[in-house]
Amino acid sequence: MNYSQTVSPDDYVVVIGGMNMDIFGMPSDKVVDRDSNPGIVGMSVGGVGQNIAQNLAHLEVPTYLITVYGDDYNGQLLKTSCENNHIHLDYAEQLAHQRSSTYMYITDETGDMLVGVNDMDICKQITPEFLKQRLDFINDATICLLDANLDPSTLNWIGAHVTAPLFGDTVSTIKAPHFDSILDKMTVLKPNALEASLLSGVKVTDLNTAKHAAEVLLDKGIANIFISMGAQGILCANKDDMAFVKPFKTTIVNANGAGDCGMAAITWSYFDESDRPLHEIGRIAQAASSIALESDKSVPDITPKLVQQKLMSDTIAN
Amino acid sequence: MTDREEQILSWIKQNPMISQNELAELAGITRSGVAAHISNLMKKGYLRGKGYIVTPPSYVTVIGGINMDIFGVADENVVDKSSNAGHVYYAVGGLGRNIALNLRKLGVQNYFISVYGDDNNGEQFKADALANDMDITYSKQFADTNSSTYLYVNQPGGDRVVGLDDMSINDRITPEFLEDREDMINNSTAVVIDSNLPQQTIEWLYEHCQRPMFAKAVSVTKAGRLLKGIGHLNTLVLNAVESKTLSGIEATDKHTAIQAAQRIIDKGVNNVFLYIDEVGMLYQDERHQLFYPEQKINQRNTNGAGAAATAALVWAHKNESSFEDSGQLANAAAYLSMESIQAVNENLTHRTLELKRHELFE
Repeated sequence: MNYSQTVSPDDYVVVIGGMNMDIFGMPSDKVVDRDSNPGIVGMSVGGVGQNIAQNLAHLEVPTYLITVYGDDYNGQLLKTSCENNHIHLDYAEQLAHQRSSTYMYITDETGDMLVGVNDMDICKQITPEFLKQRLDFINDATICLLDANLDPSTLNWIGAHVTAPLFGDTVSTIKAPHFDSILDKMTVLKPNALEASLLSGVKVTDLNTAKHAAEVLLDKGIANIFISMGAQGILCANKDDMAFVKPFKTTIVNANGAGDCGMAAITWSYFDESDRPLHEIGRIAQAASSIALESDKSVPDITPKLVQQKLMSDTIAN
Repeated sequence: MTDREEQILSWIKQNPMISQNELAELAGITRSGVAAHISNLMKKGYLRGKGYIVTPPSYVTVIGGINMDIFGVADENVVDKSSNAGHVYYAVGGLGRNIALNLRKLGVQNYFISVYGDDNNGEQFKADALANDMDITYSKQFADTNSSTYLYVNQPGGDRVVGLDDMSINDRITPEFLEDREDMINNSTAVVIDSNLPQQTIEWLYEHCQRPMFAKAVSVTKAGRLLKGIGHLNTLVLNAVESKTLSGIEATDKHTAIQAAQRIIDKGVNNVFLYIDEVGMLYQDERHQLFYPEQKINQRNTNGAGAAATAALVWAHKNESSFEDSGQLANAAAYLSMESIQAVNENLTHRTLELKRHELFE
């Protein structure tokens, strides 16, 4: 199918990445190994690409998720979830006879992960050939956001052929190096401290080492780097400017999803106003993360209004 | 059966397509009168749920749990506290359901009594039962309740790392729930239960079930539900992990297995089938002890072995097989199950079971 004739009349963001069914189980009591342990099982739609896309849609950014999913039962659930959240799947594809991406994990009785299995082979089907058919649409986007679930070969192809500004989410320390060969093509990259250490070769432990890592990464060609350092804050840097923004005062309910929400907020900020000073972008990211931390859902019910409210009324932690 | 019911049944046998109105005319009663008789015939087990197909007089009833099994098999040895690359599978399962399906494959007519929710898992279960030609007429779907789920992680070789179950819906199988199905239960040739059932319900069955009862213990935390009144059981199938709870002795080898089984037999259970992973399987009654050491077989998933063994024992009982034959068949069934990544081996038939038994014992 050739999408090159399709042109969207309005501005939009394209997200190319993974969409998962997350399945998790938490026992009510201590685990008795290798046996049936009573507990609660939950299912929710996840995947970094999808989570960011969902946050973007909540923030009223027209968002097209370019991903693949299977023609199995989960595939249908994933599709419906995107429709309900106003994530456009026009350029995604449902693949026949393929298992939709799944991530399942079991925690202990306190919620700490015991073991997990990820089954994300289907992401390999997001190939250069697949994206070539969608290239015109991708290049007309205001922003093209990528997650590191994509294969390095796919990311390299994107680096070589996509002209829209590239934003990247590193996903995990295992997958962050997928971006290695296209760092100089990235307009925005948002690694955490560990991932930044890996990509820069500088061990990030505090603000000073973070600044050093940021300089190394900027030298490698990244235009804007946001190093997320958890409770310490977020370091934002480009060639002209640097800003360190601490978190907002937050009552943490569920840490799951804060990073994805922060990435979406940064994207939203550039979409909304491309010339915003780094310090303000950092505040927006922290406001969004705070909202996510206070929500028990992995993708919070965030809106632009809630972000404004948080920015105006809440205080930065000391 | 009343005379009137017998009469209606024989008219239906002659003409399975006969309508209720025609029956009413023949009998000289009202259509709603006919409907009531048909309802009773169904409850008593002489007629199936749809289409008034006449059931053969002999069938087994299985009362137990359905589950959506969701399991991850890691590609390499599992690293704790970490996300491991691998495959995630979904399979409709559950002990009761697996026993019922094994029986279906062995050609044993059976009704499966269970509960499921109106969620995605519940819908998948219904579709699966239809696809496997299982009879779930006497099961019930509950609104606004989650179907039972069993989540587990396996090593590449098939051994379980950890499992978790969300199965509170099974509490809906109350004594009252079974009372509504009592006639049908007591018309079975055998009744098979698992310890997913609430204890009250198991005790109700011990008291009210007049047919030979087979039970499969599941999980250390639930096996104890079988204890009070366990002497009512014809056969108990259990795993080493449940042996301590049910006998007071932890079965770790042939010797302790025999002791554990004897304790259970002393409580009144006629036959015990006890299997110990990596060690072997024991089939024992008052007079015989048959121990089958574990053979090096291509094991892909140990989940389901117990259900297969239970079904084989029920089948053997129905065929009035000897004690030795029964034990061998249960053993063979367990291996067939373990060879398959699915809990119920797709290829199970009474032929493949006999072939496996031949392979193992001759």
